[in-house]
Amino acid sequence: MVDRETTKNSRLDFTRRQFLTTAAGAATAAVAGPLVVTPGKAQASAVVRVADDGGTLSKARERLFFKPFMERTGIEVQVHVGQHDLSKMKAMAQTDNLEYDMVLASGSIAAAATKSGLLAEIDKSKLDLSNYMVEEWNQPTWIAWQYYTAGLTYNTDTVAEDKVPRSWVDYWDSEKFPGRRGFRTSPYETLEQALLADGVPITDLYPIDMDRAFASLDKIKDKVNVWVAETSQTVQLLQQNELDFCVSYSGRVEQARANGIPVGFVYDSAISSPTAIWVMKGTPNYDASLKLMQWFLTGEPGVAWFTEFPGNGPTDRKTFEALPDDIKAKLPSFDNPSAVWVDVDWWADNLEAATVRYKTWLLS
Amino acid sequence: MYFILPLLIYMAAVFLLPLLFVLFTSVVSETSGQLTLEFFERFFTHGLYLRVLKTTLEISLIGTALTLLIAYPIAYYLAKQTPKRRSYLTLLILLPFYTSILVKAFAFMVVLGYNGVVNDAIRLVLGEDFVLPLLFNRFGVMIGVVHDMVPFMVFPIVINLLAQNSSIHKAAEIMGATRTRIFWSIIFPLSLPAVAAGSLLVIIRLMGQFVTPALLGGRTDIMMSNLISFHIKDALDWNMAAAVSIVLLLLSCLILLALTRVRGAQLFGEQPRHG
Repeated sequence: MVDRETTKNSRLDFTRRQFLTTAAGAATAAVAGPLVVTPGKAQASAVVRVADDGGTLSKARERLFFKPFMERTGIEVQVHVGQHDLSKMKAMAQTDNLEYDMVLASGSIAAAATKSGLLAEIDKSKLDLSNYMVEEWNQPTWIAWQYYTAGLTYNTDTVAEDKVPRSWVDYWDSEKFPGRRGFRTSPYETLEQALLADGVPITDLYPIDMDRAFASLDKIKDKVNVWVAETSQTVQLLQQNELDFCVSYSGRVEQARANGIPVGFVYDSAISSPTAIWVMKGTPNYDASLKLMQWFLTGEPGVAWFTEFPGNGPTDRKTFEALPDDIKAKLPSFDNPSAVWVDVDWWADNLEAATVRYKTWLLS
Repeated sequence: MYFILPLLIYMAAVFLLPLLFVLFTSVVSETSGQLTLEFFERFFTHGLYLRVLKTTLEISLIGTALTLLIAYPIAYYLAKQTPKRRSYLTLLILLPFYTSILVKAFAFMVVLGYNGVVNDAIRLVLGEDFVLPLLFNRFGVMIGVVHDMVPFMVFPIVINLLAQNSSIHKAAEIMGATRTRIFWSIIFPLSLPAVAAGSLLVIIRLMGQFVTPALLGGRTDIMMSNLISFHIKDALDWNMAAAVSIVLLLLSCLILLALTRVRGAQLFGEQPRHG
């Protein structure tokens, strides 16, 4: 079980991979039999194992994307629910045991996973990206197949239309726009809001000036009624009249509105982030994964998906043009100068420092 | 002794090994592979971690004390009931235990929220401008955690009260002791081991809590587990996550040690030994 490479190193100078292998070996030896039964690798390459986040959207993706893909290509899609966080990916890489080949999740996770060397290079010669709209989101290791938008959400029952803050400057002005306010407990998107509220032009947002952002947050800190930890709470707190304003996501708000919940969303100066798709390094199903990636980027289900779940936007020009006008109206457009686009690379580098500072600030 | 061997092997494989892995990760840097104490140093020098540690201890200790205050009378009442009635009432105690925290958080808003039953009643009596902030602050956290923890405290105490030798109570009564005197001189001291056991269960669980404080708490109600989860899942800084975990674990062990001393001393009817 002992690797020759390691014995010559000092006792402490060994990697976690080796620790795990040795530990697993010891454990296996201890019970004198296999502890873990790994399913045999799929014989054909005609399988893609996808990690998705579960919930209603995942179910809809199964219906709109995966099933037609299987019928069209004969490639089997196996969905792994709720396991796409960074720690899971890192653990899979360390134990050399990939449980899935590709992931659909936030671009900020993709950027961070790239820095940790967990993602495979995407062979762009195998993809058709001729109508791809955002060069910044066409990365060597991940591509955004859609974007989601965070913005000011309000209770339409308690807030009159002329008392709705239309910008982040307005949101910071609690005298002109009185009401119970909700803020998030994560710095992601919040620091951007703070800078915009302080008058920083959209083009100068990155790299984020943390001192300035926190100085701006200081001004609103005592006016905040609820610091919202769970995304599902954002709309719920408005629905239960616990708050007048909160920060939420357009996809979520549009769904709530469709269900008759009295909430509105301010699309001006809303902050959009990419939802990425990527392939894990070392996958045995690379080619099939790229085919599924193409299906998400340009496939026909796109139009049905973005029509059924308004508030999320496509990155493919043809898909965008095929959308009905009322759906297009609910999307921050790439041509709109008031739309804010998150720099996920900045966040991949600074998430830990920003979060530690944000939580320290929350406590003080 | 041999019959616990399978259990020991099982625990060694699924508990001890991962724990050693956490310990290893807390002192060996992932980037350099060198032995280091920098993560513990960061823990004790950066303002965040100590402050969160303080919050965690506050919520755990106050939460445990409040749970005890509420659970003891319930346990006392349950122990006085006929077995049949007791089993029905036990179901009521277990109900919150089987309810998801998300559902409970929603329900708390209906009762304690801005437009909740309590605040509506207050407005009716005192006028439109009166609102009691009952949620999204430390008070809300306490409501939530006590609600979660009551069953863990009630059951050890009920079992203890039922097992107490009633002839001692009768002897005291014959000697003319009042009911108050019997409670404070006999029943309560005899129940202390169960109080310690219940408190132990509750305090250890509370130290690892983070969902309830996150859902019902305010700006400053950040728990240690919160930071662990962040460092593991979002920041991918497993060194720091491991260091925070080890501190939390050691602290739990200290509390465990302190409480088992009380318990042992009481169990054998001796004074705690010193020196």
